[in-house]
Amino acid sequence: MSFDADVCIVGAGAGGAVAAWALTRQNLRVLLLEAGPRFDPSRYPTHHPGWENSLSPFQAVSTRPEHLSYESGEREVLDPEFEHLASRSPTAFSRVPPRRRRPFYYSRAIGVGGSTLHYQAEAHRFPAHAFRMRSERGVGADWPLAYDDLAPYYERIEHLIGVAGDPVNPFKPARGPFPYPAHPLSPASRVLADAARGLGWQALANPVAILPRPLPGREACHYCNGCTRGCAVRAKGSVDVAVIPEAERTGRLEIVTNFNATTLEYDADGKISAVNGFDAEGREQRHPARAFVLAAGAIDTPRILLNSSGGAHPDGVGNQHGQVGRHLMELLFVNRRALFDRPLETYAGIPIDSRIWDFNGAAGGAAGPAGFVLGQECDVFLGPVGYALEAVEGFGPSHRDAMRRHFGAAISLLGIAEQLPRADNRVTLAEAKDRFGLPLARVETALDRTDLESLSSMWERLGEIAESGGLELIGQVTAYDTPNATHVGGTCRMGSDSRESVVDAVGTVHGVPNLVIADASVLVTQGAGDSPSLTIQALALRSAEALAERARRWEA
Amino acid sequence: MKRRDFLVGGVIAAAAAAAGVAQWLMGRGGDAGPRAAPDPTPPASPPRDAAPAAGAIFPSEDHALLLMVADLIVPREGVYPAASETDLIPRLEAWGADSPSRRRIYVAGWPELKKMIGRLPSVDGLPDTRRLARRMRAWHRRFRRRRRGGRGGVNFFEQLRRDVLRLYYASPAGAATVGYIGPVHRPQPGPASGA
Repeated sequence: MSFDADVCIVGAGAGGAVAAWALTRQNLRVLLLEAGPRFDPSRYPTHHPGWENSLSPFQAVSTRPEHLSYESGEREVLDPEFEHLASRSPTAFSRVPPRRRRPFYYSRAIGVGGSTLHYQAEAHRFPAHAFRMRSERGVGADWPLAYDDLAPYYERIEHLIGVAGDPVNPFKPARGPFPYPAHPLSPASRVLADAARGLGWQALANPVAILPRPLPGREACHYCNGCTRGCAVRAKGSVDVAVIPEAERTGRLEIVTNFNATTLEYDADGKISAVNGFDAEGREQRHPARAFVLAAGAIDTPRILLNSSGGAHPDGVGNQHGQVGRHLMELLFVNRRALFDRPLETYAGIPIDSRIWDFNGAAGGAAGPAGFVLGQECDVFLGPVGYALEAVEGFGPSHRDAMRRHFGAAISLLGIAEQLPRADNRVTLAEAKDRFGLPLARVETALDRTDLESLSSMWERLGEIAESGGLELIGQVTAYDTPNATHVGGTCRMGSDSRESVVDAVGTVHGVPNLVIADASVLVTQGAGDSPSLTIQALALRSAEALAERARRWEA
Repeated sequence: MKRRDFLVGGVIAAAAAAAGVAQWLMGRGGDAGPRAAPDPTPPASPPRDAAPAAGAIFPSEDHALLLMVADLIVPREGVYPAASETDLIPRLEAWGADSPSRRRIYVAGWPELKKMIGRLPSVDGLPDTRRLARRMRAWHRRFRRRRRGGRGGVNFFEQLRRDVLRLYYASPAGAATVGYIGPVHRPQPGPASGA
């Protein structure tokens, strides 16, 4: 290892990449360790016939057994009072009606870019109240910073990744223009906007990190709707194309791919001295540096901290008060699949081009204590295969007729709610071990009545939209029985009190000044249904610049 | 791939299928350049072994029966080809070989289904089409009614139904039947102004 790193970062996803970008711009030499490979976007399969049956390269890597780093905890018994929320499909393989929730599934992408490789590029600023949930709503917890503290970092990230949006949103704090104007609304969103208007709500353009105009090395979006399979033209602001190349141009970034970080090494005072792990050939390696950033995601970051127990950190790094792994927040979602009365080319366009924020900032009533966001997404209806399997039932001539009638008319009405943080929803270490002999993460998560009522309220509101817009509901998938961790967070949360949190307001682990966490682990609340990636990135930028400032003081 | 290329590929595939050359067209996949063989999985997919030889999962003596079932799932209509006209067997073999669990389902399920089909009256060694179609509808209903699926052959039939539909509509000819132009360069659907 010839690269002499000032800072070693674990994880090249939304947070790790931004931290690397920020630190290299502060003249620090950065070693970026990533568990997966680096992908060539031009190899993504979205522009080939038959693409619906193909995994993207990062999907194939991420689902390999050797990358399994967690196990699902005990499955929660379902509350029959909320049976209306049970997932059902008119077409797919039916299953025994589950009496317990399905196993926890951690939806992620492993590789340079992390989950931004498959994200749908929603670029939301959390609402101001999300940072003061305890003070304003009496639930959850307060962040150790306010919206105004983060706003300048949000703005810088929006320019870095290229966000297109409409600044006029009465449900959000006032703001300046986005770097790019909003993409035009799709026909489906226009129908839904009318339906929402009939209910007194507003469907507004969704801010997305998707370029409407080309940049050097990146094409403009051509509305293929394949964002979740990876953007072959680099229009989507995934960090592998929008952030890392710029950091590499400084000459101060070294990336090591296919490296599995396992533990942190530290001195007698508890200060971190190296990251240990295994390279692509399974050889044990040690990467020393002066400071460290953990950005491995809300399951693997606490796993690394807990697996690093011993000496100065007998219960795991940062875990002196037993907070590491607690307050896991999963994704509370309701997808109600529906058919418009006519084809609207719903398989094309931007995956989630509009949202309804009427319940995002509201408190009480239908919004519940935490709030949620509604909207629509393409979901599984990306092309004819999705329709043949999920929208149209049966086979033979009737199937073919229905395919012709409905192709381009299916949509998923989507609701995402805030799951309030609870200490018992958590990541611990499992008995089972990975291929390197280290305990897997064990993910324990359950819904409480507030969560179920939030799901139920979203389900009802989406039903009202369907009725108002004349849509026929054909099936649903919900978090009631299907846990989803696409937006998992909170397992090393921020706070000013080390007895209730793991990191401080600039992501530094309490009591470990040279260790920063820069991923979804640090989230305190979930933004009332807004997508977390922009907040993760804004926090990572803020934390990395604070770390750089500290590093300068160490040198002095 | 540009929109025009994909469109041209799909239209040609549908028309040529009627002329009995769909197999050749499927190999072209709608691209301007030639392709060696039909492939349900494009080049960017995870690497896997070359497609297995015909009969690796489904014995060659069963192909006629398998295609008969497939054509009842996706029958021919006008210029649009039936499932059997989309080079189905090699693609089904490749799809099965791509996943060990799927391969296991295929290998175990097909003999069960064949046994169930064998109980039907036959004409020239193949089951009567009408009776087979009726029976298939019953299997489908049985699978859905039981929710956990039926046994053996019924479960496999459901898998086969889904996979035939999947492979058919992933082909340019299948996509053309619903007017799908592919995930290609295009403007955002609808007018350009805001809502």
